Amino acid sequence: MTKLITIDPVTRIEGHSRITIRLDEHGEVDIARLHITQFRGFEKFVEGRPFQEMPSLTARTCGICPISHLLASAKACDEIMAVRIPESAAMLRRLINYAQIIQSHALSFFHLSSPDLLLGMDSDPALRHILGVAAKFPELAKDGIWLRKFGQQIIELTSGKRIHPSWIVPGGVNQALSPEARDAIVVQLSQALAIARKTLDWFKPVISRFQDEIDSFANFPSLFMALVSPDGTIEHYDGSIRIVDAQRRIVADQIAACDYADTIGEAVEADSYLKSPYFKLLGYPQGIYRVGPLARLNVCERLGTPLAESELGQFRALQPDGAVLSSFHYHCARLIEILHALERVGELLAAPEILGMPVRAIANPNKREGIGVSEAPRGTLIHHYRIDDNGLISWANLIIATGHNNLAMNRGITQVAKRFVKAAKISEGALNRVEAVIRCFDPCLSCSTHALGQMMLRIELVDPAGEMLDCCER
Amino acid sequence: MSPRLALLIIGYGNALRGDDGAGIRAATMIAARDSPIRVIVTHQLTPELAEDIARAAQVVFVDAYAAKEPGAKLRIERIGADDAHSVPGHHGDPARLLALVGRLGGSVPDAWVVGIPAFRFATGETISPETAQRIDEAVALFGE
Repeated sequence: MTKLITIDPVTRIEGHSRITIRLDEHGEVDIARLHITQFRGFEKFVEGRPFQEMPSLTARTCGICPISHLLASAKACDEIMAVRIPESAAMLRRLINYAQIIQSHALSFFHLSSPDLLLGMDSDPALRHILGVAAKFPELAKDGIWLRKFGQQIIELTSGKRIHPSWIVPGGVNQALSPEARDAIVVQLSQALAIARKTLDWFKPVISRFQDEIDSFANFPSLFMALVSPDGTIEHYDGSIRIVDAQRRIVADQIAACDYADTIGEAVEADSYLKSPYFKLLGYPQGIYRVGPLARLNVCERLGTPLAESELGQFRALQPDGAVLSSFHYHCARLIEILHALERVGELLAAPEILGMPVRAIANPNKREGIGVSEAPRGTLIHHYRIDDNGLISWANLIIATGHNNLAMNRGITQVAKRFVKAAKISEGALNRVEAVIRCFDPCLSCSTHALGQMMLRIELVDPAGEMLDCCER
Repeated sequence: MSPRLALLIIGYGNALRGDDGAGIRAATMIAARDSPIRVIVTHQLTPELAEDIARAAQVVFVDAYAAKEPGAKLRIERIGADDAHSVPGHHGDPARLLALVGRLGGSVPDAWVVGIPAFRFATGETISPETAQRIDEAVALFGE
């Protein structure tokens, strides 16, 4: 008789979800499924709105990564207006994107995942949170809080608000950076870099303590997708799509944003509001790929900044024969990307053009369709709009980073459940590991189901007839 | 190290859900005055606020609460640190934030919560006349 385990809600992630684990006749895990149980409907209710409103509207998808939506949306609008935005505006958009990556990655690593890494996967869940970390490792907790705040400060100093600024607009940005704001960021950069390097120096030697998790946390061959520049350098704001396989061989390259639909298909499954994008050439569901920090480091040829480049060499040594496959290594990739983003912030602020004018191109719509692609903290973000004769949105499609990872997250929880769930009851350690593999991806379900609130977890264990045998809830 | 602030006001809530934005509205009004009071306006309480709180001698959290009767008044409560409960990843409540300050080795300031009664939570930025009146009363607590 098969059985089913349910985890509902999943904790310390962004949004609401449920996991079901089905056991076979022998009591072994057959398959685990992640169900995203919230629905937003942004793609539908934006229809009929003026396209210029899209950055502000779609930014409301999420309170964690509104900057990412602002950027992808504004880029889609730039294309509808058929404008090339001023150089200073492009630099400022890059700057705020790096700030978003710094604050979001700091939130994921220090606030959400460090309790597992510092206190242990099997530690008391009542203490396994940021307060527990603060009690035992106050310096690291302070560093994490400081670093996230720094990322948010850059956003605030640049755009006027930490969350949901209206500064990024179609055609550029609506205000130049002041010298005072620039200097206020620059004066804190050395401390931020020191924290990023210190955290990497602490984390790298402890990675090997998690061999069991490395082996079982979504560790399988897959494709990886990210943006790169024409010479293969990592890109977070512009560039073209590249896909590599598990051996880091390029299988698709320099795919322009406008051609994304030729490469990526979107499947819908009956038990989740999260779409399942796949690589069309391999079909569904074989075309499984991953995005985000791990993918970006696997896909690119170089990072292009000295400190991060040195770290990339060490990262590649984790799997010298190809791509780094274990999703546990998203954590390390995230820290390297923080370092890279800080270096890029320094470069951008050192350039006099960062204070330049103009910062906005003004135009009416000149095209009926626009596609904007950028790298959000969690991976490649695609906004695609069509407008009518009056400039009103007639159709919209959003492919969110977490959606790209849906097939991989499902396969990942099956793998970890097979390793750690051994009976019709779920132990605390097993429960936490099933959650932790999802946290590696740092999913943002508010964004990807186009819901509100923090991610809660429910795991259900069911038999082959669908009868629930056990249920864990946080 | 920067000198300790005498008073920090943190106003929070959802400005897009009617009266739930009362804390934001009150804090914004206080911030608009020529006053030495440091004011932070935010959607929700996040761990990084601990650093600002640790620098203050006194902190006041201004938030909306769901009123149960039409004539509901301001609620003013003194609070202390409470780390008895687990802390969510990126939002919390005032007592847990104070606990985080203490765990990080900071000095936990005297702290109060000013609760503004909220009557309508429909989508939109409009504050009900009843809550608007209570917002004025809350702002007046911090001088003219």
